[in-house]
This record gives sequence, structure tokens and C-alpha cells, in this order.
Amino acid sequence: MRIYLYLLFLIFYAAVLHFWQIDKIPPLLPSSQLGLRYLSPLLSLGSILVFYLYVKNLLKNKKIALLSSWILTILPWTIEQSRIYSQINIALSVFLIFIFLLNKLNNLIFKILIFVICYLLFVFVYPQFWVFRDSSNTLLKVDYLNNIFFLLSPTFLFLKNITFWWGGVRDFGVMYISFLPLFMIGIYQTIILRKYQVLIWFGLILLVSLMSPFLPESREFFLICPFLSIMLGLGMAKLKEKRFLFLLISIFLLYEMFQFFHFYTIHYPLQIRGGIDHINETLL
Amino acid sequence: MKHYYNKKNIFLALIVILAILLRLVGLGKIPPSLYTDEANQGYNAYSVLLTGKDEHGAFLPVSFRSFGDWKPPLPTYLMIPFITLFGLNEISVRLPSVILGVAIVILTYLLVRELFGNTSYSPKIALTASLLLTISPWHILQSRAAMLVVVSLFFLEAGIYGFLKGMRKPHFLYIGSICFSLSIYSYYGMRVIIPLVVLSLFVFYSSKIKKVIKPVVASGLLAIIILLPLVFSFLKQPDVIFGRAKTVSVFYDQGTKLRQWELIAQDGINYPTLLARFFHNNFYMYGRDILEHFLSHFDGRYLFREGDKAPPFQIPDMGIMYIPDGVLVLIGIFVLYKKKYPDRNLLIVWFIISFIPAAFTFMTPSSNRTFNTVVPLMIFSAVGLVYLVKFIPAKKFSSLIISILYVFFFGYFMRQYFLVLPERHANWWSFGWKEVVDYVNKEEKKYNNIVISDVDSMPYIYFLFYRQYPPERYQKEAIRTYVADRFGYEHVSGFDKYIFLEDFNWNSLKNNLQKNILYIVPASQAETGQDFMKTVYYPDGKPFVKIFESQ
Repeated sequence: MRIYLYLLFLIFYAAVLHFWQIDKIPPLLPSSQLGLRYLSPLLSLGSILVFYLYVKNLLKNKKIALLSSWILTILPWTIEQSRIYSQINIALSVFLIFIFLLNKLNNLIFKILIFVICYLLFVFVYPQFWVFRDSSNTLLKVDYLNNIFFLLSPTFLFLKNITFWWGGVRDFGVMYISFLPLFMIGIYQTIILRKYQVLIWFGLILLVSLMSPFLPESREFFLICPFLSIMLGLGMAKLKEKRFLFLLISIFLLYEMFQFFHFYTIHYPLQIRGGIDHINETLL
Repeated sequence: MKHYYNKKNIFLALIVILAILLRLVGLGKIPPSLYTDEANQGYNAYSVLLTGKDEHGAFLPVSFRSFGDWKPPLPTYLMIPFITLFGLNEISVRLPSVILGVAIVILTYLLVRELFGNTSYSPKIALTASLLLTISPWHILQSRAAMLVVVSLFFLEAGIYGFLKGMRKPHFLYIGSICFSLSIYSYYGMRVIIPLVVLSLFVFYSSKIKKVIKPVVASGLLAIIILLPLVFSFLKQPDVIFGRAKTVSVFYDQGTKLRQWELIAQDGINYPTLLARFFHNNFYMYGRDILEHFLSHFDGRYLFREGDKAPPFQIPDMGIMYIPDGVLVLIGIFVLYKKKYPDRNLLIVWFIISFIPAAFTFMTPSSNRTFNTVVPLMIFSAVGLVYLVKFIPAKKFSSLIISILYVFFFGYFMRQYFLVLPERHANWWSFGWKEVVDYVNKEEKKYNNIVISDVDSMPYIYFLFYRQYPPERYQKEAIRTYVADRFGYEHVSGFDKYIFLEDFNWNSLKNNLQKNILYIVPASQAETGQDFMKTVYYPDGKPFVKIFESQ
């Protein structure tokens, strides 16, 4: 019962993060449709719930599921994408429903059916996905090795996310710096606990992202956030055993979150003022 | 006899032979020329050999003032025996690096045996680590050039080995202590790394240290005695401790400071000052900057693809490691923790500490400053390889595939290093000065003065080195202001009939030519159509300098 109260609190917390001053930050263009912007955070709240159920089912551990869901909620990238009309954020909701049902259902026919439905939904909500665009000519020109090294570079993961130049808070990476030790422990724990599904999805999303002809201005890698959150959740659960270190990292994480909100509310609007029209406020 | 002819020793001997060949063949010509720092160390060693003083006239210095960058002394002193034997040339200058580079390969074998003790995989991991180090592009590049770091790595590794061995045989503690101290005399980064490594050793082996406390204290005292000259020298001249570190530090670079001001300005004048400081304080801003420089060394583009972009440490179109190394390193670290190897933390700490000096500089990633990591990296890689081969099915087939992969990458490295580098990066290695000096040497009697552009590199050192200019004479004749440029370098204005112009500008000089002077003009400033006597070319056919005679 207590865990559901925590979950409820998490949803409320996420709602505050996603809806607070959503009509002002990031700034709206006169032509923007505010209604569309509300769609993203609404779906994000649903995503957190689905993600919690997916992780609970995968790890058979409610606490880590809750921890991972909290991490997904506070990741800089998810906050940014949840507060704008973002195709990739909506696609993430579809993707999470897909992987949850894929794990939950045992019947192969249902699984195939779910795959087809989710695929069609994915095409509908994320037409910008490079696979659905005519990229056959550019695929040969993609520098795959460079892309994989870019996507896995610590600078990108922890310090500077430049995949969304006009819309992202460039002073933060995909994860907070304080997540660095948790990420390393998390990868180790994922292997030790044989949660290969997490690694397989990680690998597949990495593969799809690195093939994007538009990288670094490409957001497919955003789909990695849930799997990063699982690893971080596992890492955090393990690190709890070293109380002092855990406390130290928690304090720094709190500081970084304050930093992020400061950047997001003060510097980010200034940073993107020259390209607000680039942040996808209309249905394409 | 059986002991000497067992399989392990034969393999080790073959690895050592390979290491020698890879580091010695064509040493005088590849890299294509002496880098300025190499030439400088060589000439200073020559100067000490003949006069007991360096180019500045300092008697047996504990830090060579050099170009104003205060080079650590040991690598220079180690050149003296070779210069005595073979004369002042490229090979004599680079031989200490070659010998200690090969010694590192052997030492790594011994160290792994010591670290992994009696485990059944110990010999395999030790041999694999030595082999991987032997063919490591990073290690070969550094072992074939006199760049300080090979010398310092050898003494660091020998220090660690001496310490570990000393836990069982206390007299090794003295060897360890001497080696740690000598390492401090070899490279500035070691003045940060050695204290941290020693501290870590004391933490990790505290229970064992208690049993050998007397020799530990005695070896500590020995280290203090060895380091006394450095302390006394520091009291006279503080620059000898960290040399040019000040000018390459993140705190010297204004980028972070400017960003801080920009962010505070963006907060606005109505924003509470306390909050602005809370968010944009020095500790966070510089801490983040340092972390960014630290993490830049883990970027795959640097490690496996582009390498170090700072001259002259790049091998064209490749990284400092092979791609399979990267995978094996990750597997190796995982195995070390999974199998709970007792000394895993020492290797990890050694690995991490080695990045600290580089993280505090703004020119990263740097393969030179982080060279100490090459040994733990190759040990991780070896652990990964040995366990990978053990656990994957179809062992023979998998081993064959891994071997083919390594042969392919090694072959590519050989091509890039021995064939492509001498052409593509000849300018980085200051190619051409030898030919210029030879030419000038033959012709100089005809002229009153030789005017040389000092725009790139430090040409005076090549004139000293290749002419084997008498050090005693140079110490009296050298004209230098000791005013450092913005990078902290002090230039030489002239000696004998040579004049070196920092602000050499051929466009203005050519309109105001004086009689009977030979001008060495950079090709970038020399226009075609003018009547140059000679052009010196890079190996790729591009012009390096043009020589002009004013009648």
C-alpha cells in the first residue's frame, strides 16, 4: 500500500515538474498551439506509470521500480522533452506500452498484434523518425563509428547534450554528473543480475540512433532514457550499502537538480530565444 | 636448465625481441626528425657531458630551464652515456626511451605475476599484457621518442613493483623508494601521481605494512634524501617544481571565467547575489571543467579513431588503442570485480590517478600526460582476453578470429606509423631543420649574419644540436632576454652569427635587406617568383623553408 502512495506522490511530483509554468517556459511563439504542448506532459505522466509497471515486472522489485521511475522523471532530457510538443516524447509513451505488454503477454498472437498496433502508432506519432523518411541515399554517408563514439561519449552522457541544439539545455548531459558512479555500478549490476533485456534494448536503440543520418541533430537516442533509468536505479539501490558515499552523491544530485532548474528557468529561455520556432510546436 | 627453457620464458623472450625490433628499427628516421624537446634534451645532455653545465650555464641542474619550461632532469641525464658512446645524434637521444620502453614490457610481466600471485591465469595474463603492451600504438609511439613519459612510467611501475615485492622481501622496498623518487625527477605529472599512488598503496596494504614497518620508514627516509636536491632547488627557484604547468592549467585559461561572468550577467541585476553565487560559484564551474577534461579521455573518437590531436603525438587516422582493446578493457574490469581479485583496486586507482594531472590542463585529451594509464589498460585488456577465450565456445576458432583482428589492426598501425606518419606529420616533428643546418654550415663563411625565422618551433636548438656547437662557447655567446611569450616559452635571440627573429616578417624584411646576409624564410611567407637560392622540402613535397641571399 505504501509503495502506491509513493507512486502517487511521484506522479504528483512529475506533474509539478512538467506543468509548472508550461505556458511560459520554454517561451511560446504567437503561432504556437498551447493545447499541443499540454499533450506531452500528460503522456509523460502515463509513461511514468507504465514504466513503473514494466520495471516491476522485469526486476520483481517494487522499490527499484519506483526508484527507476523517479530517475526517469528527473532526467534533464525527459523534463525538457515533456514540456514541449515533442514527437519523440510521445513516441516514448508508445514504446513503453509496447515493451510492457510484450513482457506481460504470453500469447504469441497477442504479442504480434501488439507489435503491429504499436508500430502503426509509432509511425503516426513520430513521422520524423529517420527510418520513416527517405534516408536510403544518405545511409551510406553516415559515419557509424563516429556516431557510436559520440553517443557513448561521457561528455554527451554527463555534460553536454547537443542533440537538440535549438531546444536543449546544452549545459547538461543526458544524465546528471552525480549519476556517473551509479551508471557504472548499474551496468555491472544489470549484467550480474542477468537483466539482459535491458542491455538488448539499450543496444538496439543505440544501433538505431547511430544510424541516423541527421545525428547529432537527431533525437532517437531519447528512447534510451528508460533503460538508463533502470541501470541507474539498480546502481542507486546497490550504492545504498555504502551509506556515506550514497549520502554524498545524493547531496550533489540535489545540488545538480537545483542547478538544472536554475538553468532551465533562467538561462535556457535566453539560450533558445533565437530559435524558438525550431522546437516543434506544431503537428507536422 | 629446465627453469630457463620453460614455455613462459620462451614466450616472454619472443615478446621482448618483438618489442626491441618495433622500437629500434629505423629509430633515427621514424619519427622523421627530432622534435624540439628531444633536440633540447639532447643538446643539454651534451652540454652537461662536456661542461658540467646546461645551455644556461647552470651546474648539474635538478631542473633544466630549457625553453623556459623547466624540464625534469632525469631523462636528459640518462642520455649522457649514449651520447658518450654514439655521439650527439637522433639515436642517442631516443635510446633511453627505447630501452626503458622494452623494460616496461618485461616489468609488466613481473608486476602481473606479483599482482595475480598463484592464480592459474597469472602467467597467461602476464604474457598477454606484455604482448599487448609490445604492440600498443600508444606505447610504441612514446618509446620511439624522447618525451619524458616513458622514463617516468618505468620508474613508477618499478616503484609499485618494488613496493609489492617489498611486502615479502623488505629490501625491495628500498628499490621501490628509489624508483618512486627517480620518477619524480622524470616528469612533472609524477609530482602529483606519485604521492597519490604511494598513499593508495599505504591504504590498500596497511595490514601488511605493519609487519615491515622499519624498512618502510627507512625507505621513506631514503626517498626524502633523494628528493632533497629538488627541495633546495625549489627554495631558490619555485618554477622547478611544476615547470610550465601554470600556463597550461585550467585556471590559466579564461574560458571558464568568461562563462561564469556571462551566466551571472544573464541572471540579471535583480537576481539575489547569494543565489547567483550558489549556482555559478568557482567550485562548481571549475569542478565541472576539470571533470570535462578528465572525461574527454574516455571518448572513443580519441581512443580508437583520431588519437591525440596535439602535435606531435598523433598517428595519422588512428587512435592510441586498437578497437578490440576497448572491448577487452571493459570485460577485464568486469572480470576483476566479478572474480574479486585482491589487487583490483590498486589497478583501478593507478588508472584513475593517471588522468588527474591532465584533467587540470585545458589541452585535452592528452595521450602524453596520461601515458601512465597504458599499463593498467593493457593489464585490463589482458584479463579480458584471457577470460574471453576461456568462456566463449569454439576456443580455437574464437582465438583465431581474435588473432586475425589484432593482426589486421596491428598491420594498419604499422602502415600508418612507419609509412604515413613520416610524410603526413613531418612538419609536426620539425622536419627540415637538419637539412637547413647542413646547408648553412657549408655556406655560412660567406655571410656576416644568418637571419632565421623563429615563428615556429625553436630553431636555435637545431643549430646547436646538428652543428654540435661547443657548449662552453654557446653559454657565453647566447643572447636571450628571458622574457616568456604567452605560452611561457623563452626565446633565444641569437648566438655567434645567427639571429633568430620572433617577429620575422619577410614582407617587410625584403624591402629593407642588408648586405651579405643569409635569410631562412618560412615557406608560408615566401612568395613565388623571388630569387631564392634553395628550398627545403617536407617528404610530401611541400616546401618547408626557402633560403635567400642578400648580396
